Amino acid sequence: MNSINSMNHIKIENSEELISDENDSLIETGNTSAFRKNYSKYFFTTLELLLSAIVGVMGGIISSLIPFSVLIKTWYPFVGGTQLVSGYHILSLVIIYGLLKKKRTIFLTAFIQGFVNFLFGASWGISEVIIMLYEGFFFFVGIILIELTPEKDTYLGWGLAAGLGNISQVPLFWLLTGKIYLIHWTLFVMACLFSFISGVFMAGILGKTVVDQIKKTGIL
Amino acid sequence: MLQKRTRNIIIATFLLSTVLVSLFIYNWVEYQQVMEKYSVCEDSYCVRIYGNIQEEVFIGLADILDGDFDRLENISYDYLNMYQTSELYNVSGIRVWDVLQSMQPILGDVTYFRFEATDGYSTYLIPLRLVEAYPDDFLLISHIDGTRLLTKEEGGDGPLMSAVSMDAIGEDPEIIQLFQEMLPPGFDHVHNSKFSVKYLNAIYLE
Repeated sequence: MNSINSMNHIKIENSEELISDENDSLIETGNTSAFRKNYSKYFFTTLELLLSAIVGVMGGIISSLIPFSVLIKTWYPFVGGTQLVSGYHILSLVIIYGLLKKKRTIFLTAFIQGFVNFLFGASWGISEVIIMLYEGFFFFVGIILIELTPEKDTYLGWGLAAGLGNISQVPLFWLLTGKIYLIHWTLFVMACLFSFISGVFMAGILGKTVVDQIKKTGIL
Repeated sequence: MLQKRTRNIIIATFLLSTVLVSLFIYNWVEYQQVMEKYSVCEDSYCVRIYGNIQEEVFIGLADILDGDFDRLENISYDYLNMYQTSELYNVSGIRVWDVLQSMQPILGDVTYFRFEATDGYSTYLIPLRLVEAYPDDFLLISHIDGTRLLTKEEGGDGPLMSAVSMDAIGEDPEIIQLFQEMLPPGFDHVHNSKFSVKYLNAIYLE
């Protein structure tokens, strides 16, 4: 045991930089850039990569395989009603942000989820990745705005940030598809409001609830 | 006494709800006015043909499924969307040209038409000359891959959809120009998904 400790002690002494802080009881066995505190904000730790991958894949599976729109289109008579259940697209982004509190993981998870959607044969092809990154960007903007207010850790704050993230995709799609020129403007406004509401409840509030429950378990 | 935060949330929710309900009521009234016109049609589901025509015509689902029009069965249909993703289906239905021909005596000087759906969606105007030149490429379909289209209430996209083949529109200069005018660069290639209307219930003639 003493020889092992002395070996580790020798390793640290031979390192170019001391990397552990005074409160850290662990013995550093490496000196990778990921462990350098100055660079931690530019790199993802292994945990962040793993969680982003898991949540991104789960989000992609849910997005691709579960036809939430059927809940709406069987009874709602107008175009745009399915936006009322569109919030699940960014639920994974809300969860990953809540678990890791690192905004860059939003984009990583969005990329993974978009790619999984693509692999499941989304009709928009590889554009799914860009669409997810687009929504992730607006959720990211929402988080930044909310952090400037006292609502940054409240259900309302997260709901509003997710609502902003989700509402962003309506004008994009309606412009890209040309729907905006074919359909009455009132239906467009309703679709925007539905997507905002869906983002608030299905992504923001539900996402925060999930995060709080996960944190209560003490797993992370 | 309510806290300021709670009061603001209630006010914002009230305003949002008011806007939403107002817009919904407006569209519901419009929808009911249109649906009233369908009351003259005795079938469970009808396609209304209106516009530049002496009187509106309603074609029932029964006529389309096993009625007066020649049915095309299991026609290969290549569905191309704006992301250039292509999917191949086998569709069955009737020709739009046959429907218009049956109404020839009451047609006005029609040069364009468009498909419309129950949910308010409509297509771009399509030149009638294309339907005349490519009669087999403009269809009202009731089956895809041998399966009847389910209604909206059943969770499907039917009972009727429109289908326009790329052969008829892909090289047409007027259609190409239309797409370039209406869609942003990168998405302005001609694709027939724009004319694939779910819940088809009307054809407007101009």
